[in-house]
Amino acid sequence: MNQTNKTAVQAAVLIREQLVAGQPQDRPISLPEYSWGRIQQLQRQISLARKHDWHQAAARLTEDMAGTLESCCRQLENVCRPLQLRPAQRQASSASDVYRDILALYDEFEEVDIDLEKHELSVTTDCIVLEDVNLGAFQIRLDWGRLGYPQPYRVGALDPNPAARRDDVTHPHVQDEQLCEGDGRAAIAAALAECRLHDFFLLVSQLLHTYGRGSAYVELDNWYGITCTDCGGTMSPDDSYCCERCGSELCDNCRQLCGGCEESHCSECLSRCPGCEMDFCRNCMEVCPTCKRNFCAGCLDKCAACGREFCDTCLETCPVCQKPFCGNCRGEKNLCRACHDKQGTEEKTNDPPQNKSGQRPAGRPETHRRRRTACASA
Amino acid sequence: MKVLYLNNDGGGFADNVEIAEGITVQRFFAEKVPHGKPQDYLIRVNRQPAASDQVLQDGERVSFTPTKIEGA
Repeated sequence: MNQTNKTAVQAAVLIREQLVAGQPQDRPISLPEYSWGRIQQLQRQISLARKHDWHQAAARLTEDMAGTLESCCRQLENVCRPLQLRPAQRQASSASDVYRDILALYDEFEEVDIDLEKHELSVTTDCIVLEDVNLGAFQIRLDWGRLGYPQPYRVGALDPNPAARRDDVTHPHVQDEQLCEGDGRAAIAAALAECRLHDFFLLVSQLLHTYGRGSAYVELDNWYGITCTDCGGTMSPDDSYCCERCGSELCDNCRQLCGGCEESHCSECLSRCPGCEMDFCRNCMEVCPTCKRNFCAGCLDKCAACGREFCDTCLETCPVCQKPFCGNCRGEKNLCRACHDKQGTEEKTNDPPQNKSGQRPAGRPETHRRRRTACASA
Repeated sequence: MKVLYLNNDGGGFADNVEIAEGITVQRFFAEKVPHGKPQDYLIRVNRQPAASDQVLQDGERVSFTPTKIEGA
């Protein structure tokens, strides 16, 4: 027996002892909570896409939903099956099983290391490339002294290519050398509980070789940083802002706040109000029906007659009632219709009746008759 | 005849199951994972890669591990 095999035997014995010492009587039941959470998230996204008539996005999301539902059903079946077994039927690896698992690792992985002093068994994966992003090789280090505890292993990048400004994220699903197990959580827990080390390392390795878009610490699209839509500069995802209207990514220097709703917007999605010369988004501006220009709510006023909102330029104040009126609701001399009509009525009432010759009664001034003729013609 | 069947999909499952004599890896996979595709799994017999037409023997260890497992 060569040295590798001897070390493997020692490790197998130690691991088996640790397993027996720390084995819980009953393995916890791991439900596919992550998959279910993802299904609910997809459901919300599909509803939003349909509401906005984003048909292509809705179709793609529906496809994702179908796949995730299928996966969730399989996971539920696998959770149910062992519950139907008697405790005696559950498998627990013997020391020889653990030994064979360790030897098999040498065929699966680039390197295998056993550190008896540190109680560590580690494997090195091949170079992992996800969507053209080369993340390098990873070392999966199992501390068998912590078997029975949550996540008794770490995942370290051997040639780190971390996300922009996120040195702690060396893989979309690894932060601070901790793997977020997602869909693999239950299977990994089962493999560790039964000391199926070959299965455990295969599972972690396959997780590292799979990219779960939409659920990463840093998405691969943003791995090298996000580009600001306005200035073209690069920033980390944590330092970016999103235009509330068009969704484009903005740096802190380029994002602008709407003077009305105070939400972040890009320069393309804000317009200047000609009244107050502040910037507003489309939702916070209205069109003046007369001049057709966009104004903010603060620079529009209501016509006292029709109730529609106009800019200051398109409203005039009635000299009698001192209220603002639009062009359609006022007449001659900028009088509003009500005041104009009222004035006309008063003049008719005050004007005395004429004799048959058309002569006015004595004492009535000439100007008075001229005014009545002018009002009649109006 | 019995084999130790390990399914690492979903919650993980390990059990001794009866098999028919002469059953191949491909046939066994189709029975146990009817909605799955073999190319989507790492299939190991006694911890070694196995050909689809390999005939299973009594007492062997068969494992199926999905190749695509999404992290969170």
